[in-house]
Amino acid sequence: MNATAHMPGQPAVSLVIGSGSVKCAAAIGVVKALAEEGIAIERVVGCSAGAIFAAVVALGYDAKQCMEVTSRLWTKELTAKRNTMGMLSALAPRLFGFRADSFGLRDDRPKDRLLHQFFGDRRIEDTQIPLHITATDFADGELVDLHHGSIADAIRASVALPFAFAPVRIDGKLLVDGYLADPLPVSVAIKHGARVIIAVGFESPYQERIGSAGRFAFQLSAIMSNNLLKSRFSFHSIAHHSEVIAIIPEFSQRIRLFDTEKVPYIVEEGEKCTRAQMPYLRELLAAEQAAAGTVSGRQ
Amino acid sequence: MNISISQQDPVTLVAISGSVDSLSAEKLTEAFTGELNAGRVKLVADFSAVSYTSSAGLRSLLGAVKDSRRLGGDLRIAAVQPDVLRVLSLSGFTSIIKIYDDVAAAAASFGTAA
Amino acid sequence: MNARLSATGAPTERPRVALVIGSGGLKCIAAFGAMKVLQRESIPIDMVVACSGGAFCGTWAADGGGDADAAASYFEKASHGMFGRLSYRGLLGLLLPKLFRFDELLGILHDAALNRGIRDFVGDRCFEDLKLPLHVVATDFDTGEKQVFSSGRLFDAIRATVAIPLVFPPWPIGGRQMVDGAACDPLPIDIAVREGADIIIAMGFEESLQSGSRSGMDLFLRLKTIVVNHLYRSQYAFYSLSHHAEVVPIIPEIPFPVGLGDAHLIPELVDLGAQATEREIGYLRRLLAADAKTAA
Repeated sequence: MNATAHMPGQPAVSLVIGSGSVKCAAAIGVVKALAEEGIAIERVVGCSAGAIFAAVVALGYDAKQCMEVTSRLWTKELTAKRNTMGMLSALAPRLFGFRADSFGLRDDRPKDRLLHQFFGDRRIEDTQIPLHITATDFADGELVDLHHGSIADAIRASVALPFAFAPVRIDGKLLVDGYLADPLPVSVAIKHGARVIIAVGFESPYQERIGSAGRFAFQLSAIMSNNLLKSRFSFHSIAHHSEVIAIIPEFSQRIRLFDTEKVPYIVEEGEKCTRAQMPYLRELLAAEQAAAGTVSGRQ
Repeated sequence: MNISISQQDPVTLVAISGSVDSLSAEKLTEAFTGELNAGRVKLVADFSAVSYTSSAGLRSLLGAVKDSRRLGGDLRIAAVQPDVLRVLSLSGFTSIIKIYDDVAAAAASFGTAA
Repeated sequence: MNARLSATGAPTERPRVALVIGSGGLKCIAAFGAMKVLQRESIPIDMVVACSGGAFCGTWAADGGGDADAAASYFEKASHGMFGRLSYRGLLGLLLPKLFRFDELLGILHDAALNRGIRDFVGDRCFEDLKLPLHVVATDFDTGEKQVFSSGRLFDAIRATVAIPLVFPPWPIGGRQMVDGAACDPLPIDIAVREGADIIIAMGFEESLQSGSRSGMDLFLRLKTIVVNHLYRSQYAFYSLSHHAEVVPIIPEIPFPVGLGDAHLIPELVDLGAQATEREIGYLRRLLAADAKTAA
């Protein structure tokens, strides 16, 4: 059940995994369902926490291995340590020297250590399946498509949620969380010649009670990024020449950032959503193969 | 708007000049459809002389992009003027279409990672 | 384009033109410059859609317009002091939420002057009193959904759509807390499409990213700007591809930062708005002429 690289003649899709913290584990279920149907993945794009899963899929891990990776990487250790200096500089910027290029309320080191331990020196260009990781350029706000270089560094940039973590500098650019530019970057797959695209996306949850400026900011950011998710998706749907199949799992259980014990449930939901799309996907890929190479494929 | 088409194997160069808008969209669609129906699906649109693009013009262009991709080819754009590039960027085209500085680079792109 | 039907189903002899003015804080004043050019060219306008700061010029245009320069200088005077007074209660609630009780109704600026300014401008008038249909977009802060106001008190709709989060307190309408329309639909072309417009003149503003982030608040505003800019571009992309006729963007290039309190920049903003409109006017003229011909 490996997420295998695409062989000529085999039906294949491009996979895009959007931002959604631990919910991105649903992508494991998607990969599992695709593998069981013998559908290969020809390109994978990941944004924010989705980048972690995109990277392991690109490296050729199967669903079981992906689960192990999740439990190893997704620990409280990831963000447990507060960055005292960051706190002080936010409260009294003049006194403690607020610097946007290094500001984070959490200590980056445990997260960076975990990512480097796991991905080592592996590079994006060496993965079995072509991999793209997206981040946002802090200087001009543009989407950055990381298609070469260290996997660990690219993921660090893609998950660099402002306020929580410091931005990451790659190739001279200061990068932050990819979700700011596009929470579900289907455009990257389209631009690189994707045919059928499976887009796994997540809506940001709204706050139940707004009792602090932080929660207020979270609420506002959820409103804006959910609207961005919808409008990017609408645009991609009409701009793509082939099909973009959305997999947007809705979880009946509330999932918090470190609900790692809920990972099996999340994976199951992802798998269920994918299976629901399978009859159409099968038909679509069969039609695509029949049309391949012939002009009659035009609609 | 004027369109001139030339073959530069393996790509077809479509040089457009003037305004790509609702008054010229039909002509543009016809030109692209003609090439695609003849099996020429690797298209480079030379935009160096395009002075204006409107939403209706861009819809026509997008139709050609999608048709060429369905046929296994692509439509790539070269030498876009700054004013037109602003509209292409605002309209989301820069995120889904490959754009090159000049015609040579656009043509060469089909030779490598098509 | 062929003969068309109006929203009521009756045939009309010319395309329906909508003016859409997007969010952009004080930059929205540039719309008065656009109106000057549209008036000079006798471009007919059938409906107006506005978001956030665009609601001021939008309301004026829907009320039949008039002397655009006079209207701009009215706002130049009116906006003095409108955005100046800090709310210390709001600031303390923001910094020390436990001690001073943060609640979502707070903003760091006092809204008394803002409310007075809007009241002076529209009084108790309603959408129904205007000459043209007007639609104003705001965001429901609890659900993130778009709310479109097309009837009722103008004051409420304008106050709601300019409620920049954390700067001004939200405004309650029908028991829901409304904030800045920019959070969900910064350039609401979709409303004009839905209301049956053919030619849509869309005036939009991209927020400029300030070079330095010197505090947590700066950083927060920067992130908001990045997302709103993407939202604006992405919605523009989708709406302009979905529309059956033409969307003509008017995007003034404003080479300097514009803060809410920069009333002295208003004359210059009006000029930049007029310049941006001049760039599109040739095409707009040809478009209307071609339409008049095919409809005849």
